[in-house]
Amino acid sequence: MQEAQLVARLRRGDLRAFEELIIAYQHRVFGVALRMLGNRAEAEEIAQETFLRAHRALPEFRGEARLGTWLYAIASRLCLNRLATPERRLARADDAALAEAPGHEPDAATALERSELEAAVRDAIAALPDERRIVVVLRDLEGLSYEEIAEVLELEPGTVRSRLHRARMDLKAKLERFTP
Amino acid sequence: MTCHDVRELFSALIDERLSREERADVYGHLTTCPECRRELTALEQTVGLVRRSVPIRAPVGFVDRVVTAVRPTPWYVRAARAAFLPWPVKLPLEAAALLLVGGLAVLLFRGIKEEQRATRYEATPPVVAERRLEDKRAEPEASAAKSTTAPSAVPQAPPPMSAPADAQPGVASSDRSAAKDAPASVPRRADDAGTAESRLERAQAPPPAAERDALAKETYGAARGAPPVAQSAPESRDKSVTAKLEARPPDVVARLAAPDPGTAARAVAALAARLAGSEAARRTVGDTVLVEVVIPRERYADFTREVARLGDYRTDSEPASLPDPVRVDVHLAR
Repeated sequence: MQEAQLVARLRRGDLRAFEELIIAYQHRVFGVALRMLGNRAEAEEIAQETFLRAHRALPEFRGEARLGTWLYAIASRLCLNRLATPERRLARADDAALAEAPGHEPDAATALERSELEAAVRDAIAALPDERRIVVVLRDLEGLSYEEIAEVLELEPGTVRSRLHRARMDLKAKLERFTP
Repeated sequence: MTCHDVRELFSALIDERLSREERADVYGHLTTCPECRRELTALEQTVGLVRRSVPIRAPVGFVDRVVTAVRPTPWYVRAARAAFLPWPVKLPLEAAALLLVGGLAVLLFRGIKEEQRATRYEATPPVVAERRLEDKRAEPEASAAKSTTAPSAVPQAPPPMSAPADAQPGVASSDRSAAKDAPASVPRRADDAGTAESRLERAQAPPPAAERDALAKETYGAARGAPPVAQSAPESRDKSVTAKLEARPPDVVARLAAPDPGTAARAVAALAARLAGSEAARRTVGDTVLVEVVIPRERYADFTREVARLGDYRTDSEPASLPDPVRVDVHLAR
């Protein structure tokens, strides 16, 4: 109900409603972008572009999908497109950028974020192929259902299931030393 | 089900995405396979590790930046952005503008040069003569008031250099006015000398350069340099008028082929005197004798008719509209 009202206000061009939308989804959209790209500046650029495109497309938004799913779809597409560029492919092995991708501000949270386990999980996710990584991010980090992931990525649910399984098996192999 | 088949369903099992039958098959296998049980446990722990990852937060100020980017830009900001484009855009535009301005400047400069050339060309005697004629028409009263002697009241035996000036004060006055109102009169006079040189060159084709210069200097420069005849004029005003008249290039340049150029030159001078004109100068350069005479305009036709009797008389240059008096350079040769 709240989302329907928000959508109605957004379609009327209510800038305050759009601000509420950004506040509600900024961390999730930015999280997907950072997990996918491994670079904060690039992630912010993609996240900002996601909301700008959403703002431009709001008049055509019919409300059939949830706002979150819609935003994830835009962000995922932008990330995958960016990763598909030749220059981005050359820069894939930029582990330094991934290592400096904190979720929180420095100082207190830095200790936790830079823990060995956290870094290992982050590196393991970053090492996944793009099409598997996005599925794991959307499922295990963002909590989307198989159907929502299929909608976001425009895939069959069976494809989502198999990609997710392959991704998890890759992660298990990389994080084996942290599992008893 | 084999171990491989069962393990393929582990991920869906964790997410509770298996059907009742599939789940029963998997659990049935797990009860008999400890390896697969360990495998499932490891996978569940891995998924747990991932799901417990520290959530990522957007940078501070992200909302404001997006809202600012979305907010409609005021017209003055858009205008300012248009005026101050980024370097990658502005630099090529400025370079193109610079080239355009430079090209226009070159074109304009060329145009000016052509105009200047045209002005120099117009400053040649025929046009000058027309201009003087117009000046004279415009200021007849003033010229008459300034003149001390009527054009018809030419002395019967005037000094050669002063007679034309005394006879035509209007010309001198128009010359003065032209010099006063046109700054280009100074270079024009220099150009006139050049034009005279070129005329001499045509008349005495092909004279050596030094000889040509000497002839020109003797012909026109000597007149400007206050020749003894001009100095003999009683009044200083007459001197200046004479000098101005003598300084101007000839109006008509002609050639006269005669068996004896010296005799013919004297005959030409006598003819000029008979037609109320005068001989302004006479020089001999090699085999050529140059006689410069000043003829009243109304007697010019008589002059050309009479001089043709002395030999083969040909006019090299003659303006469409003759000034009064007419300065005629006659180059006499065999």
